[in-house]
Amino acid sequence: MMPRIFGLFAALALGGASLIATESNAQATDTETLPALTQQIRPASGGWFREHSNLGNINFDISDSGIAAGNWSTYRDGKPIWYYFQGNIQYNNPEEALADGVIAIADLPLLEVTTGGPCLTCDYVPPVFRQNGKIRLEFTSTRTARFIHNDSPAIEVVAWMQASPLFERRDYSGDWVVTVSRRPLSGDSAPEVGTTFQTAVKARLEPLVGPETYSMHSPSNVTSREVPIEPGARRYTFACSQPSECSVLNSEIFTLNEPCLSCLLPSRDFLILFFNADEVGELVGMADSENENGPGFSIDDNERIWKAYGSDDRILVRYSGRLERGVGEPAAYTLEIEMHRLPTGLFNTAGSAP
Amino acid sequence: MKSGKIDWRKNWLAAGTVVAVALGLCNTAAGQATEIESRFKSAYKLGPAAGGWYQPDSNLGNINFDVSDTGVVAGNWSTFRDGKPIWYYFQGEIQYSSDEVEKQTGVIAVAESPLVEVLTGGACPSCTYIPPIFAEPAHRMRLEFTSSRSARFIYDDTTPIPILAWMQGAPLFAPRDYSGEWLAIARHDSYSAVLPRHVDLIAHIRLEALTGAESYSSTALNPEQLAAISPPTGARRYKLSCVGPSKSCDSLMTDDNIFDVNATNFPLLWIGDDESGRVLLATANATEGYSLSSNFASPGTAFRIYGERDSVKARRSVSPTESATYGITEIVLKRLPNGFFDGREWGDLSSSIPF
Repeated sequence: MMPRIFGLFAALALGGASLIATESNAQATDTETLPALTQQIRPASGGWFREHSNLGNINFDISDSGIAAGNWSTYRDGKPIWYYFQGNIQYNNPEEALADGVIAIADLPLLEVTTGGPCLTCDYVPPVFRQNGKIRLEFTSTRTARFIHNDSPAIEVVAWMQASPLFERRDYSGDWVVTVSRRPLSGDSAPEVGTTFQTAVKARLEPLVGPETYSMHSPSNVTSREVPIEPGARRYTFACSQPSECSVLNSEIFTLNEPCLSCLLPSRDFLILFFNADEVGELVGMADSENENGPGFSIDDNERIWKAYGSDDRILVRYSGRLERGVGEPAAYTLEIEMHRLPTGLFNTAGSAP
Repeated sequence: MKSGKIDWRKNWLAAGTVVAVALGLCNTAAGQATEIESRFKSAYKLGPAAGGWYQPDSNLGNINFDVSDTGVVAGNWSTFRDGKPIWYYFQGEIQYSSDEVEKQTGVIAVAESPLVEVLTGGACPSCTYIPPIFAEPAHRMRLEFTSSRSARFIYDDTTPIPILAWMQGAPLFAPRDYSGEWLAIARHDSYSAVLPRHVDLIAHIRLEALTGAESYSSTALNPEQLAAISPPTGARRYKLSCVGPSKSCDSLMTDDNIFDVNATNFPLLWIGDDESGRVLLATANATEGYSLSSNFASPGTAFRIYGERDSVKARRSVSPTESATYGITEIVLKRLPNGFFDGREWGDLSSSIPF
């Protein structure tokens, strides 16, 4: 008999003690030699749904150790039913995420709740469960996923409290604390470009003003990819506002152009952080540009994709890879930039030099 | 938003399975406070964990919700009637407690909502869409959150039921361990006739689990006071130390409005089962246990802390009715994953200025 403390989760616990012991074995590393990423892109906890479908609501939370569990409220033959589910979440490494867009996967057996107590305040009657099918969630961002019930076709679902279609899109403008950690492959580069770099700075994100006209710019004039910014994307200039650290950050990590060199390659006069509709975007170097179509922006196509994932008050930018180019930065490194929102007015000095 | 005025049937049907009314439910615009007044209010909200909540050994089932950036709380409640599975949607606006209310009542936020029962829906998930049919809301619920993972659930006027965010700790999961590296974001604003001031800083700090005996003494507190502030048995206890930058550490540790440590004591941070707790000043005793200082011991000046997943929020405030020198100190810890920082120095991120 399952311990009573589990209440409705008696069957869910599937051997309750294992819940405490189980750890996600997901560890995102690029190769054996690159420093490992220290954190994962975690899907939003709460409710997920599909507009104009019979899906109902999927609700879950993810434990610190990587257990995804929750319930699915839906219908069978028009009648309300609900299931519990529980399983480990598997986080993909950056290469996998870049390849197919999937940041994490959860395969979850379903336990249908068939009966329970007569009413909320009545004497407790342990619910009765039966195993009935499975679901698979393939997360493509913190708020988008594919939902697969048994072997049915995948249904696109979204975390419904996190933005459209029911809520306004998140605005990331404002003041942030930015922690930066770049860890190059040991012994891979000359000391001046290969040292571990870490800092914390204050920064401000401000909406980028200008047309949605872009071009990719590569020193070789052979671009590696299409413009990654979708029409309507939220775009913000990233301005470091803590001077003593900013100069090092801008030159060593962001490799922004010095003012006197802005007319030369590459086109990295300033940084922008953009987010497409699914809260996934990038941190990219950019410069103003003008061509026969008028003014626009030139995106530095440096072939390293610094992917950005937004959530409520946190942005995570990450990269882990090797690129043999002698451009003043280590060839192989892992970079993580984690940003935490500063409430408006928290610091007198946010956005200016202390 | 006035929840009672929603045409639930119309709105919910329009959105398919979830409320369309959420659109544009945005602002809990408060009155226009002056800049100075706003400085004495908490900048960070204390809120509940998103996801599933429950009560072991009850017929409650599961309450699931999320809270939007703008304070809309919505989700569903899966429960039973006459032993059969049923479920409701709910949606309302979360009301975050002021610092004063939180200090007096322990309630950090409240959410109220009508309950909208789902009567019928489609044949199966992949079948042709049939809009669900909802009952007119005949019942209500109220959630009174006392920490990020504990709350009171009140259905209509029935007796409150204590509930827990079930993925966030005991009894189903191991209690969260807060030891490790953190980024501390702190500020203090105070007013006095002599020296109104503002301090802010960002520092790299470390929390180390304390392993000493769970016995506490004090030369400055009477037994009743000591019992009131001592960590409860089994509480998670951590020694807080500052790694850098040095100027930020100086402000964090020695400013008399923040931790105000001396040569022998240290900030002891404890968190109980409900993920709330306190920061105290402690000195390790030569024999066993810890000696606690009177700093932060009184209810009016205590550092109250609330743990969340990757964040710990601490704040203390003194109101004008409590002291001629009043103000607020807020410290928010954001977890630095293992290996993110290795402890090397980075530049100063602190300031202390009058205003």
